[in-house]
Amino acid sequence: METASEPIIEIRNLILSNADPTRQVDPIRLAIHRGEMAVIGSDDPLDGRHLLRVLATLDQPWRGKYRFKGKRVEMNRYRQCLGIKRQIGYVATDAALISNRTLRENLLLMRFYHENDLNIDLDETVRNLCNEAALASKLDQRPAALSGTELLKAVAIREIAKSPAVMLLENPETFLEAKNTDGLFQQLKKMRRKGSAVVFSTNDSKLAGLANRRLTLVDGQLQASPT
Amino acid sequence: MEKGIGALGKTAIGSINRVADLCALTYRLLTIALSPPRSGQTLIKRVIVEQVYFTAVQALPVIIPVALIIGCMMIVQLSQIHGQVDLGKVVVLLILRELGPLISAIIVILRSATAVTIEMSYMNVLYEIEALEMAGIDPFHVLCLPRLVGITTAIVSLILVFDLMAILGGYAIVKGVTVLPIEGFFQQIAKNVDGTDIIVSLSKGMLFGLTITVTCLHHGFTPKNQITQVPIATSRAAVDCFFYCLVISIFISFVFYV
Repeated sequence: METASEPIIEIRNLILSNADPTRQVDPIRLAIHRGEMAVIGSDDPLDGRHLLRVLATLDQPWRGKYRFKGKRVEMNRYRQCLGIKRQIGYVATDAALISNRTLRENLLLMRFYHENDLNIDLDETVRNLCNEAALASKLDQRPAALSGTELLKAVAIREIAKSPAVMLLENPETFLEAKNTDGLFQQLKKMRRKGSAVVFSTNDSKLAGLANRRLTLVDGQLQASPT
Repeated sequence: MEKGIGALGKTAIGSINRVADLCALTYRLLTIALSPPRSGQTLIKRVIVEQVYFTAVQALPVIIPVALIIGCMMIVQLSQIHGQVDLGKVVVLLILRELGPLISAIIVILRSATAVTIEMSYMNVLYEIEALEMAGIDPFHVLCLPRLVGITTAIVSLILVFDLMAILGGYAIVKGVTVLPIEGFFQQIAKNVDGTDIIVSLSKGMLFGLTITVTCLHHGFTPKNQITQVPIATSRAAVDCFFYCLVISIFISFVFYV
């Protein structure tokens, strides 16, 4: 049973990687709480990406016990991880849409599958986000027709449509602006108010300044910080 | 000497690993096919229909002329030795039992097996598989299962089309444009076809479908770091599919006819 104070994601005894086996690394506990906005600061962008992928259960840390909403997740149990991934939004800089489906089908794919119905249409939130991102006219086109920024916006909308418990963003400055006029930014703020957490890595100081917590990575290892 | 033995051992281990991977993938696919997932059935059915369309319907303009040409060639050549051989019997032996399944498989390998390997490889390299996973969708359910069912159904259907076109079309063309003696052709065929021939033909179709799908998916899903590895995987998949189909064909023929 999930409680309000329980972290959404918790990794105990976490050691992200073991690139230098001669170095002594102390395992730490990482917890991502409801409504939190955390920025990842790292000396190497690849380390930030690795942490995001570990949180998304796409990569395994070198050591660590992963819990999602209080429930233990065995990261080598593929089917269990699929159920967790469904509750996590992940937008990487190289994220993709399914190339042989239209944008509309991509945005609806998860619902097509889990609701077992191919006749459903986009809900109002997704439709509005598409309008604001100037994607409404491209809904029936394949991803190849989209520019790089449009593709990332579309991926972000697809992930937002999942109503995820945690949103993981890699360099969000490539597809959104920290302005109240930006629909995606507004939607992320709204999600956060409703209790979703946002974790992101960025090179944009303005976006980094919005975070209420900093996760610092040094030499690929997460540094202890208050949780 | 040591290096040679080492290389031989490495190759042997690699081959054993590949066969073990193929067996594991086949087992996983058959498990899913026998107990299909409850969620996503509508989506899976749609992808199956699309796969049958790409593999069977779109292959018809290729397989029909090929079947007619081969049917004509065989009837023309065999009618030259009419009297020495039972024309209908030889046509049954060659077309129904061997050429029909094998040529249909070759056409599917050339058209669809390569396409499936490329599609899976690109989905792998371009993180599209991850996109499915992040939606909580098992790629085995929406990518592999429809391809298994679609390709197998398509090959079995194409074998039937090939056999019919090669025999009926070949006969019609030879009868229409030549004066070769081919009287009693259909009576001879009817006399020589039995249930085993149909079972052999369909068994080969189903096993070819399974083998081609598993081989393509295996090569497609093998991790790749660079897009330049895709053509290599595609070429290997096509060669492997062809070789495995030949082995299966001869194996089934041995089991039923020797």
